[in-house]
Amino acid sequence: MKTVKVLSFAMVVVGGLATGRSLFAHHGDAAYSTEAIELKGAVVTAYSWMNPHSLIKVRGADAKGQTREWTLEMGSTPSMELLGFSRSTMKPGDVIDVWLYPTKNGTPVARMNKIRFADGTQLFDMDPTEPRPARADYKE
Amino acid sequence: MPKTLLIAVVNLVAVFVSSGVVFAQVADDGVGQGRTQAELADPDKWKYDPDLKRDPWKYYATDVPPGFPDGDGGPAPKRSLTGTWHGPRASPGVPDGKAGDRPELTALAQQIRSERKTIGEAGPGGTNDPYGRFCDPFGFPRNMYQQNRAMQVAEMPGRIVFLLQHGYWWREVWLDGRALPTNVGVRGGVDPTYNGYSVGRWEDDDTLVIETVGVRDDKWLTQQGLPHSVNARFTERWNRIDHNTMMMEIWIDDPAMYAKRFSMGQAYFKWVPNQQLNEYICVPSEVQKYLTEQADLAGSTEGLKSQSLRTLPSAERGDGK
Repeated sequence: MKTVKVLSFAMVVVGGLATGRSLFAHHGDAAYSTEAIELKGAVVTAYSWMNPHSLIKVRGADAKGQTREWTLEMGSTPSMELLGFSRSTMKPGDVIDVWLYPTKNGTPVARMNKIRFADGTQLFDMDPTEPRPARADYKE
Repeated sequence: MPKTLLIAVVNLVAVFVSSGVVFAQVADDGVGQGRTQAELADPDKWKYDPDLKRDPWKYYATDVPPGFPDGDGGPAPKRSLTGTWHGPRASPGVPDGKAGDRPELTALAQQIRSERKTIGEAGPGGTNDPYGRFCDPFGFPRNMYQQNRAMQVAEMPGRIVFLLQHGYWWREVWLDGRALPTNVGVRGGVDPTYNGYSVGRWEDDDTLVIETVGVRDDKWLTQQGLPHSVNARFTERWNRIDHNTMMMEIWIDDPAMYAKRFSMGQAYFKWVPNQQLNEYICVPSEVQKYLTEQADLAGSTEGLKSQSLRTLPSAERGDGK
């Protein structure tokens, strides 16, 4: 047996599983602004757990006091499962704080960034502890 | 070593690896890959370990997968691709293969391509990709490259089947010595299909060569919108490099669309035993809902600068600031 050997596969696979098994990115984010909007105490009006992107509808007021109903997209069901979401994560009537990236064209649709639930738990559009992707995995 | 400590060590290494540290050196004490000599020799090491106390039906991103493989796994089994595999872009553990050749499009192919707007160019709100708008199947060979992050291969008498996680699509390849059909798309012949007609042969103990004809020409060859004709002929080579690694490369020969035969690129696959393939099905009614309520309102992204919100500087990720 060699005195020193190079290992990679097992650890690499485990690392891969730990960070990104089966991420299903559907498209880039060119449609969205990089300036996030925060809605505090927003009410969930619909939650559709589906592919290629799950949707959340919320009604809430932004920092300027403007109340709108927003439709927020997030990832596919397999990718969001890795981030802690599931079909039972929320339901209409739930009150949440939500951060979103709005479209550049002004329509009330956005990319979800972060959700804080009434019990203080938070879920993200990506794992905040994850290193930045080294490859263009999120672009299709 | 207590099991909890073992898991912690492996997870820590996983973090290093996923951060870009691909190679690690270990002493020759038999425990370098997180297992003792006895564990390495255990014939049941691939089995699910109840001591991990994980729900085998639920995946947790930080779990150690039960029965993760050791190194290259040793020599490849002869004439076999059977297993559960991580595919391209599934994780940093799957190397990038050689990119495909630059194709030389005929005038017909250029015209068809010019009429296509890819999701990369126009976003889901502006694309006319039949998959992006209607969940139409990728078909072969697009389904072997795009989104093929997890795949199972099963062999049975006279054929081999590829079971793809994405779309829950599958294709079969006959290994019983039959010839390819020569009458595709003509009266009395066989109709072209999404996956076409495939026959394979083992060139040697590690190399399976597959020929495919009869693939429908109303779908896209690639996510970049390249076309192919119904007379395209595909040659596919699977090289089982070692027990835990295999590599695929597909060439297309289609004179109606391309001046010469070209490679569509290499794709590597890594063995992951016991992996639970979570379901991904593109449902037409769901994609219509997504387009109507979200993507079409967001609009086409043609001409907009490409960006990824999830690759913003770390201070901006996840905190909504």
